[in-house]
Amino acid sequence: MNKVLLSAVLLGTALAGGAVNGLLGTGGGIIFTYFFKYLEKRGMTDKGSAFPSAMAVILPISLISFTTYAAAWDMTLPFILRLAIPSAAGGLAGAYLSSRVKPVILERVFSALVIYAGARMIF
Amino acid sequence: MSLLDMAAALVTAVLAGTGIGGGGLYVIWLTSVRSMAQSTAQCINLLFFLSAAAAALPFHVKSKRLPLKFIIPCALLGTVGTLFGGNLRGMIDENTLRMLFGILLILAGIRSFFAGNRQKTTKREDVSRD
Repeated sequence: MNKVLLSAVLLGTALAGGAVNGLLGTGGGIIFTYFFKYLEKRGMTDKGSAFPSAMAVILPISLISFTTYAAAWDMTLPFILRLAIPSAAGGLAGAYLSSRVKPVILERVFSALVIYAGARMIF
Repeated sequence: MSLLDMAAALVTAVLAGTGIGGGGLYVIWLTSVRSMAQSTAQCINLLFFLSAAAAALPFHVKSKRLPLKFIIPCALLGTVGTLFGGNLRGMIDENTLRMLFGILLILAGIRSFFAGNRQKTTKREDVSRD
C-alpha cells in the first residue's frame, strides 16, 4: 500500500477517533477498530490483533480525555474506587469469557438495545 | 455511587471486556436511570471504561504481536484529537451533546448488529467447507 495514503488514513483516523472520544467520552474505539481491521485485511498486521491494538490506542487517549473532564469535577478517591473495582472485575470477566464463548445472541440484544437508546436520546 | 450503580458497572464492564461494547450502555444507565447530565455521565463513563479496558487488555493481548509502529502514532495523534474534542465539548450545550451521543449509539448499534451477522455467516461457511 502507498505510504502516503497509509499516512493520510492513519492521520485522519487518529484525529477523528481522538476527537470523538474527547467530545463524547466514548466511540473512539470503534473508529480505531475499523482502522486496525483494515490493516489486518491487507496483511499489514497479525491476524486477531485488531481489537487489542485498538484497545491499546484508546486507553491512553481515554486517560487524557478523562483528565480534561475530571479537571472540572471534584472526584473523591472512595468514589473512584467504588466505580473502578466493579468495572475492572467486569472487564476481566468479559475478557475471560470472550475467549470461551462467541456471544452472537448477546451481541444482537446489545445492538438492538443500543439502537433503541440512541433513538430515544435523539427524539 | 449506590450498590445498584456498582452492579450496573459490573454488568456493562463484562460486555466491554468481551469487545461487544458497554461504554455507551453505562452512559445510558447514568443519564436515563440516574438522571445525570450528559457531560457528567460521559466523565464517569471514561473512568468506568479505563478500569474495565485496563483489566481486559492483558487477556486480549496474550501472545499476539501488537503493531507498535501503528499504535504509537495513533495514540499520539489521537491525543491531539481528544484535546480538540474536549474543547469542542465546552462549546456545545447538553441537548446537542445528548443528540450527538444518540447518533453515535445508533451507528455503533448498527455496526455491532452486522458484525454479529458476519461472524455467523463466516462460521457457516467454515462448517460447509469442512
